[in-house]
Formats: sequence, structure tokens, C-alpha cells
Amino acid sequence: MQNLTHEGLEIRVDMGTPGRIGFVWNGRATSKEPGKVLTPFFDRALTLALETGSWIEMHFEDLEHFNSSTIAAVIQFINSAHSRHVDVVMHYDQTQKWQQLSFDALRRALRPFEAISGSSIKFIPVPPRVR
Amino acid sequence: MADRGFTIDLPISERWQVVDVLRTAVYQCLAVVFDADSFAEMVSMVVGELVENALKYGAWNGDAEPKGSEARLKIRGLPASVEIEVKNPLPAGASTALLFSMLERIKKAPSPQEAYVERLREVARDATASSGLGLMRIAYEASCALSAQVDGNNICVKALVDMPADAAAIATPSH
Repeated sequence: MQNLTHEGLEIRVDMGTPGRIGFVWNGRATSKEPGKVLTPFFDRALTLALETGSWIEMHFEDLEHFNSSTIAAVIQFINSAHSRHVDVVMHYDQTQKWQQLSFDALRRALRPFEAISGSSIKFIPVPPRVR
Repeated sequence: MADRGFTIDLPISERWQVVDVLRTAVYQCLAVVFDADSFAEMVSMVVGELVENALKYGAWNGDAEPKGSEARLKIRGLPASVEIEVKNPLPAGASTALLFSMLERIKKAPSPQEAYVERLREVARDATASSGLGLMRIAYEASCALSAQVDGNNICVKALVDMPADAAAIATPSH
């Protein structure tokens, strides 16, 4: 898979570890219709994860901002991964207040979905010292 | 107490790129006024979401009635809060029912977080249901009071963000 660059956002693909597909978010996700770009990108990622038996790891620690339309695309991706039995791990920076609030809400929103059969969804707040 | 009074009053142009420029500019202005980056960031996030809504649902391309109606962003620093106001013309026959139903849901929910989390669940299940997510997000993340008013063919959405204790204004030197 190739990196994605769209408006002020860059998502770097990291496939350096077997069994893991990493996506590192950088910049600002402010697109008007991010789903048009992100949905096909993550559909490809899910297909690849299923083909290779990998889990998906998302890193948001260096993301400066995302708008609510991007949040919508992210939660739809996680739901889709869950129903297709692909494990997802989300890393975020809990020392940034906006990330702490955003990911806390996402984690809470996904709790009922975790009760339904599917893959695991983990949220890992990354302390600054390990960044 | 330092004087926190300030006003930002700008016309909004139709280009989507304006959102990020405004959001960043507001962050930089407020970071000068308040000694708490997270507060400046929060207010700028509110500005971004409200201006995005104006661009998505407002009347543009010369469609505004009466002709010449313009969209504006106003931000006022009050003694213990910051008020953000986005006013824009509406397309002819536009319904504002969804906006008011979202504001009602926020009011009736046990907390703004509950309202936002519930909307996130709806969005996760249905990709077409993302409208209103931004309003719920700002009510939750910025703990702000939201209101809206329709005046003729214009709509004005206001958000009042209370200053947290750590957002004390940078002291104004006495002369």
C-alpha cells in the first residue's frame, strides 16, 4: 500500500512488521468529504489485512487536528474492521486535551459494538516518554 | 483581573480552505490572549466546526437572498467566556429542522458527552448519518452552550465557551 496524502493530511503506511499494518497520521485532517478518500483507502487496508492475517495499528499522536467529518470516517472504518474480524489498535496522545476527549468518546461509542462478535478494538493512550 | 475583552469580526468567503486558515488564525490570536494552549485550541475547534457547517449548508455562489447577504464570523472575549457566532444566509426553502433537533437532543441528553457518543454510534452504523456530529462534538469537547436563531433567510449559530480556571488571561502590563 502507498502512503496517502490529501489536502493537509498525510497517512504513512508502515508494513515493516510482519502481521501488522501501521498507519501514521500527520498534519491536519480538514477535508470537506474525507470519506471519499479515506473509505476506499481503508477498504484496501482491510482487504490486505485479511489476505495477510494482519492487524491494523493506527497512530494519531502526531496529528494536529481532525474535523468531525474525519471522525465519522474513522468510526465507520473501525466498525467495518470489527465486522470483518480485523483487529484494530488505536494509539493517541492523552497529554493533548483534544485527543484525550476525542478518543475517550470514540472508545465509549464503540463499547456496544465490542459486545457483538467480531475483532478486538483497543485504544492505547501513549505517554509522552515513549514517543 | 486582566482585561480579556476582544472582538474578531470577519466575513467568511466560500472557499473550503478558509476553514483551516480561520481555525489556525483564531488559535494563534487566542494563544496570545490566554495562557492555556488547550483553551485556544478548543475555541478554534469550535470555530472550525461552525464555519464548516456554514459552508456546507449555507447559500453560496450568489444564491443568497437578499442578494449581497454575507456570512460572518464573530468572536467576543467576555469576562468569563468566549462567544463564537457564525451567521450565514440559507438557501431558498432550506430546512433548519435537523439543526434544531440536534440542539434539542444535546439539551435533553444526560450530558453533552452522552449525546455525542450516541451520535457517534449512529454514524458508525450508517455512513449517511454524519450530519450534526460537529455540533455534538463542540457541545461535548468545548462544554459550550449552543443556540441558533433564524432571522428571515439568515441563520445565526452561537456557542458560548466558558473559560476553565487554567485559561487565565496573560496579564496586561500596567502603564
